Amino acid sequence: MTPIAQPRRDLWIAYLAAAGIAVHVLEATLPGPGPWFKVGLANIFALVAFFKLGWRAAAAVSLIRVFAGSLALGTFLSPTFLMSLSGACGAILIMGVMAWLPWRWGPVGISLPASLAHMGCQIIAAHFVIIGHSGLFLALPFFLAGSWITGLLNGILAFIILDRLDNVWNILDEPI
Amino acid sequence: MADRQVKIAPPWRVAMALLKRATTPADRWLALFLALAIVALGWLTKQPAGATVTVFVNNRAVKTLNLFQKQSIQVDGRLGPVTIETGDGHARLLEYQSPRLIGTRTGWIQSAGAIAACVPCRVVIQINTAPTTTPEYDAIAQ
Repeated sequence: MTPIAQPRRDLWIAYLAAAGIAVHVLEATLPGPGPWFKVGLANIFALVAFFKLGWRAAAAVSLIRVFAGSLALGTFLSPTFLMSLSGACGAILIMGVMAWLPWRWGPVGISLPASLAHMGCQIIAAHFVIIGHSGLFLALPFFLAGSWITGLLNGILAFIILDRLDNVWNILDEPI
Repeated sequence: MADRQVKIAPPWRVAMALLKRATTPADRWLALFLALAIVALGWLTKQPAGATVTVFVNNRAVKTLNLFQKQSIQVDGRLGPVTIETGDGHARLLEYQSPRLIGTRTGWIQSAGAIAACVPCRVVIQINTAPTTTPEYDAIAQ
């Protein structure tokens, strides 16, 4: 997991964001209890960006994915989009905090709190834009337990991708 | 040629090995801490058991029943009679005329704030918070 040279950073951000958008759109077609509760596989690419390119790149990948994904799905500026955006912002913020802490984190250690922050911010956004009922927060522990599991799953998947990418990364990074 | 036994690790051991390789010690402690925090949050936000249930018909409270008294009453909903049963600390609403029987399917409810509703019948039941078990006077009154 070595940092890579500056000229290729933007290209990598674009690659990862594109992969994220594709998974985002694919995942939206899967059945589930609602658009606010899915595995969030698209966030794996933000995690990869976090470990390979740093926090700013992860924020970029995440935000590009939310905006472009909503444009692709036709949910831009809808309540779903607002929940998705606030969740992504919460996850980005917590990623920044985690990067600042002195301990050495793996993908799981970043994915878990980011996933929980994503869910927490989504519920707060839902409280303002969809269901203005405080009973919503009583369901929060159940939602958080769900995101703990999905956060762990995403962390492990991100680890597998990072592990494989280590071999490819340097080849792709050669000057053309 | 000698038979060589090829041992294949069971899936759960493969999963554990992957988990171990994928996480740093800090990750594992954080995962444990967050799991405990979620359980604690769930425990803290658990609603206390209720003591009474209020029956609303057309948005007006018509009756309040004791949850610990075995009882079955009928009220007139918009689609016909609706039965409310109480006893053993919980209550339920039984309607037979509504299209989807959501109120009946809710089953027994017991936590404070919980509701069972038959919207087409315009009948709602809601559990009320248990009254405090300590007497309602303070040190001065005593």
